[in-house]
Amino acid sequence: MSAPRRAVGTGLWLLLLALGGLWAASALTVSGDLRRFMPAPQTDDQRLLLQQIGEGPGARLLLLALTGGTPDALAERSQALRDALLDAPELVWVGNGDDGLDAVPDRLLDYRYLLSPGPTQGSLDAQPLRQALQQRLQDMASPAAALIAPLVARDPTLETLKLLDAWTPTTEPARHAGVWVAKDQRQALLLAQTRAPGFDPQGQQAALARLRDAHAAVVAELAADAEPGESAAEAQLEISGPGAFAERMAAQTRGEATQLGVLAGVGLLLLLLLAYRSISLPLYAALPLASGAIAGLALTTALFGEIHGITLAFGFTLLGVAQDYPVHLLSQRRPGLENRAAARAIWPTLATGAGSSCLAYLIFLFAGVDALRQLAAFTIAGLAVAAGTTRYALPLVLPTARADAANGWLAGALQRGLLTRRLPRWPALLLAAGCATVFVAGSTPWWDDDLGALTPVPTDLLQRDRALRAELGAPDVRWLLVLRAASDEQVLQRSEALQPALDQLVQQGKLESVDYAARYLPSMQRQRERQALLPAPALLAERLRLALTGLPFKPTAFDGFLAAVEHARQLPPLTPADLAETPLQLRVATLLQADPQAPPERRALGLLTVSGVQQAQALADWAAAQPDVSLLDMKATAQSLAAAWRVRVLTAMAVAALLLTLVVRVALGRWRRALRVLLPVALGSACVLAALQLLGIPLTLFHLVSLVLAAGLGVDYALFFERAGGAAAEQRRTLHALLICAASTLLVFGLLALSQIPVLRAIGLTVALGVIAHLLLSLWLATSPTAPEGQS
Amino acid sequence: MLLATLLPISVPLPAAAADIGARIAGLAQPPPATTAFHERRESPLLATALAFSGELQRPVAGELLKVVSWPYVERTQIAGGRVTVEREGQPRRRFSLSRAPELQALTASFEAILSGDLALLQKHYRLQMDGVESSWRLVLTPLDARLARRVKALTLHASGTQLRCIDLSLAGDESSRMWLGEIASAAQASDDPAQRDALCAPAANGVDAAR
Repeated sequence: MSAPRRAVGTGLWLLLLALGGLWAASALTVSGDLRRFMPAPQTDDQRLLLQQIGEGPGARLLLLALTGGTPDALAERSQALRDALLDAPELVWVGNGDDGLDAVPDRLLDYRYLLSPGPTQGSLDAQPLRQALQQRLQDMASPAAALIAPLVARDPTLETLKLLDAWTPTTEPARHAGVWVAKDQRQALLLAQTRAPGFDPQGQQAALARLRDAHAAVVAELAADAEPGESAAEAQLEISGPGAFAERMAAQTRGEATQLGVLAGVGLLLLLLLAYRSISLPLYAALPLASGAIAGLALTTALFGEIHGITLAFGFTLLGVAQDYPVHLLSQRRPGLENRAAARAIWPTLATGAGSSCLAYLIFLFAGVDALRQLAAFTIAGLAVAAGTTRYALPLVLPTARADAANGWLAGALQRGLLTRRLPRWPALLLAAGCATVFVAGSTPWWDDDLGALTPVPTDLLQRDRALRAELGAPDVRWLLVLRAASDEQVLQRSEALQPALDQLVQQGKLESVDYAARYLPSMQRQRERQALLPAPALLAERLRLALTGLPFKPTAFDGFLAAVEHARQLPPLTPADLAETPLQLRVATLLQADPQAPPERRALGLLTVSGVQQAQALADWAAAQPDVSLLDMKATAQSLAAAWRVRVLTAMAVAALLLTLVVRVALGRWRRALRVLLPVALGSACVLAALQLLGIPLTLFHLVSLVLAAGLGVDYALFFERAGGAAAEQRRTLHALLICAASTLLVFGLLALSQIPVLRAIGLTVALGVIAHLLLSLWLATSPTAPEGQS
Repeated sequence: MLLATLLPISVPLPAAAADIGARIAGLAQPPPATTAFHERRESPLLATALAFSGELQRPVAGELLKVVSWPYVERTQIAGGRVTVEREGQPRRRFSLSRAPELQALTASFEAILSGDLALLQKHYRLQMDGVESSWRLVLTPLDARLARRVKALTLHASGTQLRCIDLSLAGDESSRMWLGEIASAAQASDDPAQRDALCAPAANGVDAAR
């Protein structure tokens, strides 16, 4: 093919890539919802767990720690930060322990007589009323007047403050100067609830940015007011919680991927440069891979409309295998052979290899896990297009070979050293026996069932999060009481009915505290009962007149109070819907949820969060004795989910192995040839598993998928060795190509194995081990002894 | 200024002390300091004003104590952005200063005046002075809109370097006046409003008490 035509072809190809890339980039939505990595829930508990993980209040909660400064300075900063964030649209609620009257919006103020138990307990009788009024006189004279003056005329018994007291969490963090602090007083603690769900990366990002900007502004403002010499330089804001993790991991993954990617890219380029003694060839070799990547993106976008961030990163990793395809072609090229002829020669083997890998990933389409489906679509499209372009497009743009690249010394030396005679094959049985022994006797647990293992969050961050949660007295993450009923109202009524029993459990020390929606919002039934007991206007006016006798208040001072009680007598009972856009909404919505997929009589969920569980068994027994309450063990449920997921992935892998066997058998025509390819792959995979077991690493989803990736490589290696047979030149070219393939893959995944991110490390280690095992075993078991030069 | 009342020794004033800066600087007083006070609080809810007396204390810069001893006992501490109220027979009550803008304004201006810091005062208030050396008046109007909604004005009445009264005028027709130092007991003893007013402006030469 002439140089000008090749140039036009290359230009056209690049243009197509650019257009495809632009389209994919504009249409693609990257999601961060970890639930896409989980199997579909089968039980009520699993469904609830997944709901909690993604949209639950826990997933929207950010924990803030302020450091740097004296406890007083920290408290001041905490107040200023909270004030600055009160109207932030990204946040539903910010708390630092200093809950104030603004927790109750004006339009709901008169509901105090329905929400507070006070009036039912006699707070509106003449004598208590008089005592309250005497107290208010003193209040008006004290600096606290500022706080209550706006309230007094309508609420002389300060029912509003009683409500706020009742709503204070039962387990409270330590305080300094009224705001939450860590026990050592070196951190001020705050909680923020984001409007965006936990795994909405953009929403969380906006909330985090708002928090940081507000903090920076507050620090600057306080520094401007501070005495010279008081430095705000070390004033730090630390944010923990799912949203912060997601951001941190995205940044870290991006950072490491970029760093490792640059290193790997340079390494690959050097390697190919060395192997082919040409600068342009490695660049041409990148074209099929780039085409595959863009095809993968396009198909995933078309099929799913979005792609999970981890799928994307992982997919590119898996696709890296396709870099081997052009390498085979490059190693086959030699003077006198048309590029297209070379491509035709390797095509059956290449197609079998790529086809079997595609088949393996095809199985993940049926694994019932969304992210795996995306992964499968991305990888299959990518591999198929990379293989296709290597066969049909790359030969058209490649320059014709001027030298046989495979005449290098290394391939020749290896061929002479290892392949001139048949190596004994029986020690493979010993190796298999060794692996079997490790499987049987190994002490490492096989599976990491912790769903957290799916979260690519480093352990130290999780520990820090746990410590902060403990300091803040946040609810127990493991145990949750779940009350199921037909409606929110029934849930509220039932929790009110259960309240004495729950209080008793707390008094008996079985747990430290329990929180539920009815603490904030009584049932309509209870509100109506309270309403019925509120005094009629004439009666209340008479009581007030008696109470005011001899006090310096004007007789008309509390007309607003009379009106407020009368208003409360007429109000329709408060419902969860009325709480929209108030700080209370969050607390109630947290505890009052719905399970639309449950039968109608169990569709409303009341969550009773517990903290400081001392005797889980006692709690479980108590729950079991109630017809509608269950104790949800989040940990056990998560493990059951993980186990379900594992069964699916393993089943998929077994089917994939079977299909792979069939494809290889069909492609090669005879069982004997097929076995020469399949046995090294099977043994190689066993060796990787044994090595992981010996290294003490339990398996996760990422190990399993990496194992499939490595097996795909192994099939390629074995197929090409098997194809080469004993023909000396062909064998040398194959050896040359496979050495480059293995070295480049080892380079990339070896670098990944050094990553700080658990997921990347798992993938890198598994694949790196796999490449070594598969190459050596294929070289050993799938090759034929070299025939003397010239007879092929 | 509270402290100025502690030391009622008359200091010779500079001849041309007509500017606000010099007057404010004259009120400066380092901690620790204590002064007696009498306060009368008026409210639309009240038929008659509430009257009470006690001591104001400033043990260190940044901390103020208001100790009421008559007609009941109550102790309020303002420090580190927090207010703590202790009253006999009742649990201690604490709240953030940021929830009580008028108190915050009062505290901040006290601090500024007691350290003679005109710049700090001007940062938060518009200042307006009238009267003569022997009986002058400084009206502070909040610049911050949020504060201005609650606090209409803060008025200092002084005689030379001696701060005599502080008026606080709040939204909703709430107001209070505080007599400081040796005139506190006289204010408590007097039943005559005109006589009480005169205590704040000893020259009584027609200075209008209203802003």
